[in-house]
Amino acid sequence: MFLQTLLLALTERDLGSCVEVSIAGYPEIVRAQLGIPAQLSILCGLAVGYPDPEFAANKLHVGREPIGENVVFLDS
Amino acid sequence: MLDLDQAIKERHSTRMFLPQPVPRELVNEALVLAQYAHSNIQPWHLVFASEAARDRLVAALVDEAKRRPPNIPPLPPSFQHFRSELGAQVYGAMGIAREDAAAHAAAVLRNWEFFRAPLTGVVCMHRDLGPPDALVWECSCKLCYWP
Repeated sequence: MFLQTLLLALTERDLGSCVEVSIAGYPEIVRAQLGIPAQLSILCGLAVGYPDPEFAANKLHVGREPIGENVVFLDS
Repeated sequence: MLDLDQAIKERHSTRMFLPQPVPRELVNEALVLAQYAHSNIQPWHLVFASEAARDRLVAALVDEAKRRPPNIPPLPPSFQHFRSELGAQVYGAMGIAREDAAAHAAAVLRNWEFFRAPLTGVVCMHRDLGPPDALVWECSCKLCYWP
């Protein structure tokens, strides 16, 4: 919830972002470099900056399934 | 200013950033807004690194990524088609053929450069909390990385 809200607020400010679980794949490196204590779990990385307009993959908006694929209404 | 619907639709993963620095006041504004997100316990903790701290983090991660694969649990089989389809779209947009292993490896390595982003962050949560406490996980998280 927090992260999505943050991403939307960044988007509104013309900032690009990428949520990266790949960063959590080396937790001991991240801990050592950033001084993250043992009581915190590392969920993911977050890249923030201005998108490179020349990079074609930045224009990729991955499609989403229709809501019928993941939502059910029970009325009776 | 974008309205909410536009912002929701416009948000997507950026996989190559400009070196242009990110104004700290913009990030602070966004963080203050994010604090309003639904939660009863506000479990999130963020650590950001920019400039020299960012460069050290990236250097250490890239160094390690060249040495060994990341420790990331595999997606359950029933979800793997999402990643395959996303990989095909992303690499296709980058102009990388599926059989071009060198270009593929170079592109994957950019994950640990944070796609050259000048502002890098790590999202953390107290280790005693579980996924229901976080509700920070997006299903798409794991799709940012594909081996």
